[in-house]
Amino acid sequence: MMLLRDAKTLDAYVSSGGFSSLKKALRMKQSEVIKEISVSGLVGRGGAEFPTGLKMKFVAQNLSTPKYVIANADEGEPGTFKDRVLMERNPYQILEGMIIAAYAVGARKGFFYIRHEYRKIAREIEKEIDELYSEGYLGSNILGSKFSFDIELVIGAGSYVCGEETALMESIEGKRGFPRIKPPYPAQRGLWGKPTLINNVETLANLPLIIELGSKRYTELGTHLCPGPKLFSVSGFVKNPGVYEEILGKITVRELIERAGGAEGNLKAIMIGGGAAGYIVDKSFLSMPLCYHHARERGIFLGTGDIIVLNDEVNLWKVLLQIAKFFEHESCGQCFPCRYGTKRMRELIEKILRGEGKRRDIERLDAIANALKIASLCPLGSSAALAYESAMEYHRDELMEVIS
Amino acid sequence: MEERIREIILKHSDRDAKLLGILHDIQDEFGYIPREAIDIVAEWLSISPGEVYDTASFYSFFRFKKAKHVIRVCNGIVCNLKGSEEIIRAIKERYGIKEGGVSEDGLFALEIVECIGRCDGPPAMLVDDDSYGNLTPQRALEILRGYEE
Ligand SMILES: Cc1cc2nc3c(=O)[nH]c(=O)nc-3n(C[C@H](O)[C@H](O)[C@H](O)COP(=O)(O)O)c2cc1C
Ligand code: SF4
Ligand code: FES
Repeated sequence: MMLLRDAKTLDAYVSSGGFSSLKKALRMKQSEVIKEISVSGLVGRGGAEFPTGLKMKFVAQNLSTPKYVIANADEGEPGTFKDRVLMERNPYQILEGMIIAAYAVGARKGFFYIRHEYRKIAREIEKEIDELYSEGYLGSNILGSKFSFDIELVIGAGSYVCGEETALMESIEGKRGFPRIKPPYPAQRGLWGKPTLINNVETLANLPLIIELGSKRYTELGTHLCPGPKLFSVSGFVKNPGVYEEILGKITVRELIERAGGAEGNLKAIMIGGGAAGYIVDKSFLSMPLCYHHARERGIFLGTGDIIVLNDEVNLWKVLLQIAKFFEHESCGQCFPCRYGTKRMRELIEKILRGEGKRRDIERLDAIANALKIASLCPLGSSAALAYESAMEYHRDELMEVIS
Repeated sequence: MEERIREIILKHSDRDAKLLGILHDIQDEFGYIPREAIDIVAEWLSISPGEVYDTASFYSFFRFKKAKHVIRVCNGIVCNLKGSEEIIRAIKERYGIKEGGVSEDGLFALEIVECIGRCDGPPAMLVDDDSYGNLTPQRALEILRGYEE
């Protein structure tokens, strides 16, 4: 276990090798640190799968100052709880990763943005940050080097869209969480218009590992296409729901579900990638190795790494209604296709659940899904169509049974 | 009240990310965001009260009605599959609250929320900052009884 090891106190963390990577990184050139991360092949664990090293390079090369680093612990995707468990069990590794990232890109200030639903954890993180100041891992001249870095904790206030990187920056700035139009990307103009590196907390927890092992040994974990460990949140109709740490590409969907005790009842469908912005697929995906590459080959994304098991007692239209309600509620309302489309989608699915669904309604849903995909300003709107479209692809017969 | 709000604002003076933190502390102190607080915060941060309200009202966590405890029952996809609707019904009946409302005695506010990141123990809820999982209607009511005094 490389991410989920239990190191809840600083003593436990340091005595199991914690902060040796930071020491090592501080002796390396900044560009060497970034090179290690790039060669490691690490991609972001927050859902978008963007190469972390490349993002760091963009921020490092931007000469505008000050620069910022943000740890994204907003974890709003339904069915996702891996960041919570990581913060509960191994918080210092995230903070160490954040400090290494700041050193590499030349940032002096960082923000740790955590959702209010995790307030108790936030209080712990706050204490841990204070502890790192008093032990010389944060503040001026970290561990006797020339590098200085401060972290401020920010607690969110109940908005899914604030997990989106630019909305999150608006939120830190004290505004409504409206996503910004990209480009410019955060590396160009982020927080307060300054170059900003934003990463998911699981992504950051990988950095000490890469520095410790070296990029070569790190890439030897996993397959040559997808290196490294990954946390999976497994829930729904399984016997032992929980977070499971696996090496990418080394385990199939079926094996992971077995590790979680197997399905409760007869497995009918699997939701992969997120409980809202995810895909509802069928049993044929059980043999898929869990890695970004294989997922893409099959036309889906691993997203945040959720597996929600649905058994044959589940009414898929009801699941789609829950998801539609979610998006209607969480749409920030800034653009019309998303504000209106998510509402229409919910209304049409309600009509179908009342037993009044007609073929015309399916055509309407298809048209809305299409409009959401092409005309939304941020990925929230476009992802609102994923569950419906994939369910239609893999469970069409069942869904059409109630349509006259 | 003014005095207390000033203290809260001053506590945040050396931070870059001020507004959300100030609003959190105000809600912790009073159980909601009082109207006067918005004016005072606006004055101190040199922005208009409209801007403060704009931000505060965007976030579902900030409340403008007073309640001693806030119950947030998860009705996210996993909890919904595992019976969250029964929990919601039981709480509504026991305390006579509607979704988004406050019980007559001002003790509980009830909110139905999206995934709270505890899908490994569904159905789940938060009471203030405490989380509870693997609920049954009976267990949920027992837990809430503990908050009654
Ligand atoms: C609607 C929406 C919500 C998001 N929520 C989160 C979140 O809660 N946590 C997260 O790390 N990334 C979230 N993201 C992705 C972020 O925008 C961003 O890609 C991520 O923080 C980058 O970090 P990474 O490269 O380490 O994955 C969300 C994106 C969208 C569109
Ligand atoms: S797509 Fe939806 S959430 Fe994103 S900016 Fe537009 S309205 Fe807001
Ligand atoms: S769906 Fe209820 S905690 Fe995630």
